Amino acid sequence: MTARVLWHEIRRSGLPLWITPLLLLVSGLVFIQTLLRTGGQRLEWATSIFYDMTPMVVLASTLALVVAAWRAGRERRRGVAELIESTPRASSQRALLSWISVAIWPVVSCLPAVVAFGSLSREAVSGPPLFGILAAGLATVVAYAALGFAVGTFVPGRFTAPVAGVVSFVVTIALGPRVPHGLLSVVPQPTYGTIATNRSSVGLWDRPVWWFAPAAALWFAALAVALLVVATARRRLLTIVPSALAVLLAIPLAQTQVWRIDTASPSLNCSDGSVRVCVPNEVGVAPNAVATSTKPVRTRLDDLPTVAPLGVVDSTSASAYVWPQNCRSYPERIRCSSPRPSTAGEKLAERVSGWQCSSSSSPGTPMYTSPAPRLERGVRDWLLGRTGDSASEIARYLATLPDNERHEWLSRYLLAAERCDVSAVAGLRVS
Amino acid sequence: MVTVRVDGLRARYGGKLALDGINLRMGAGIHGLLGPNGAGKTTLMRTLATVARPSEGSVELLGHDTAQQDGRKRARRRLGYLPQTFGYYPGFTVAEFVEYMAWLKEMPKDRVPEAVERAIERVGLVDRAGSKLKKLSGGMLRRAGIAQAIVNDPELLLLDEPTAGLDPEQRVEFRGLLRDIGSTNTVVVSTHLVEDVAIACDEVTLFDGGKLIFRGTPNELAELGTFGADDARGGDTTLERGYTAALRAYRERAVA
Ligand SMILES: Nc1ncnc2c1ncn2[C@@H]1O[C@H](COP(=O)(O)OP(=O)(O)O)[C@@H](O)[C@H]1O
Ligand SMILES: [Mg+2]
Repeated sequence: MTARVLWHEIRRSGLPLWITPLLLLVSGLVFIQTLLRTGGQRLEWATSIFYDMTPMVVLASTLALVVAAWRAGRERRRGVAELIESTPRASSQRALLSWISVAIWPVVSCLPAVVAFGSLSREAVSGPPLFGILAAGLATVVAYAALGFAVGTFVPGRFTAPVAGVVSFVVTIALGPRVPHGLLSVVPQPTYGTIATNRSSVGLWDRPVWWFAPAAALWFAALAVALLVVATARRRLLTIVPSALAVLLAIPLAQTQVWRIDTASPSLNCSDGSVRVCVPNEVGVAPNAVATSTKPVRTRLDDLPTVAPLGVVDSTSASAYVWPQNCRSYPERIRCSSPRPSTAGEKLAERVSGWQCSSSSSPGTPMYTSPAPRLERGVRDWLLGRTGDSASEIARYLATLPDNERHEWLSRYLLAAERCDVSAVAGLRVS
Repeated sequence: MVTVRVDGLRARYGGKLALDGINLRMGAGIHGLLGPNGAGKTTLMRTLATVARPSEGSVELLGHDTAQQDGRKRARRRLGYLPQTFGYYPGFTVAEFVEYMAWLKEMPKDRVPEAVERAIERVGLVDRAGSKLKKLSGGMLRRAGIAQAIVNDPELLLLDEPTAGLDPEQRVEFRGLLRDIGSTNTVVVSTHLVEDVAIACDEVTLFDGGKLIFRGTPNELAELGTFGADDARGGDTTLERGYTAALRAYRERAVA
């Protein structure tokens, strides 16, 4: 019975007609952002979900607020309030039914976007996709629908809905980024380089703790319930205090940074063997695949004990290599070039042969410039076993050296590169 | 059996008295509320529908005290109400709206489909059951309003100006429906049209300025008019003349 009446409400609320363009707008926007703009390139999933989900949530939430505010004023607008007053059904039940029938559309309008995110997650770079964050985003939309309903109930005029929509949109768009811990930041966002700083260019995405997204979703759901209680309760003023408390709960949720970041996520996942190859957890690549790909390079480095292995996990496990991710940051997003296991050997050689100079960015990144490019290329090629006829002069020279001489040569070079001391390689023979 | 028991009812809008000390008893049958515009008919209807609370006095409906929340809820389940201005959701079809109202009246769900069908049939809207309310003419809308009022087979049916917008043929049908329901239940019909009362009602209650000034059968009201039969100002029918005479007598008394 209730289900049938709800169905009438959903079908006859007059919304499906004008919701269609909005549905296309919200989802189309996210589709374009997430799928088309990638242009075949891999995207940092965590980044794209943040940048693309935000407009989705803002649009769908505003829409939810407007339609719910409009619907809440319906009884009075249509002059049905009196007739309804004469019936025994609890007004909260009726209100809930009519709220559900409008809240459902903004939520549905997000579904194609969710599908887009889902398909993007196959290309996930920073570990498995966080579908919990999508759930938190949808819960935000639902909470806005409840907010609109409460506003429309208290102020049932014709202008309430449009004014509330404009105000909400302006506040969220204009003030949102200016308020460091605005309401939207309750939805987990990627925070760059807070934990990862001690392992440069390794962990880009500090994953929130596993329970953060469910907690945020739960908080928004609780907020929605509180607002609906305010809107439908007989003694509204009495319900305002507990609801205000529920809202205030967002402050610790949004402001306590430690609530969100999973300090365990940048921890390493290491391969078997005497020399361990470790991959940050959030990268989600099997360390054994990386170990295989880097094996030739590591073998050539084996007899060079003076070299500090790149990205040492800690001082006691000097034989562990961390496989770096190669990411570039753009003004609006961070893009990571394919960190496929097959390229891991090349990356490692690049890193090891590169110069650690404080004046330029680290080797392997686009801004990096080498103070000794010819030497560096030669060492890299040798590490990768590129010593054929077409190889660089230095690589071929290194291949011809007896082991002990090459050992001495490389030790000098690597030490100089690590200390960024160009004068230390001035006397190195190259042919 | 007394279904409506009103004692010392006063209703105020701001400082103005819209109903002043009303005492009423009603049982099964059709009761007409008659009076000029502003007499307080709608105010009484709204009070009986439990929409407006009395400023003073008590209202008991179908044995339930409407001052109690529980009593109101119980009375509301057995009540049908057509407000003077009937609001509706334009996108709903007739059947959907009547079903929605049945849900609001907390009818047992297995009875609803049949009750909806029957209510629509009784007001003669079967062929428009699937039409949206916004597509209906004024008369059809009134009938849809009556359909929602009677869907729960109310023991107390309150109709505020139900014949407004009905054409003569529809009025005849409507009176038939009233007689049908009024044979076992209490029906209260407010109108400012004397002829409605004359034909359909078992009892007439006349109001003026918030006061009950006459109660009796239509014949008794008509008798009041027989004395001034040649006074054309009183109206064309005996009932109209009776109505005018009752008002005039009351107002003269009030002045004196
Ligand atoms: N909402 C209201 N606010 C103020 N006065 C009202 C309101 N509704 C009715 N009244 C006044 O109460 C009196 C009775 O009105 P009403 O019950 O509508 O009369 P009727 O239905 O007999 O025409 C009138 O004087 C009217 O002006
Ligand atoms: Mg009236």
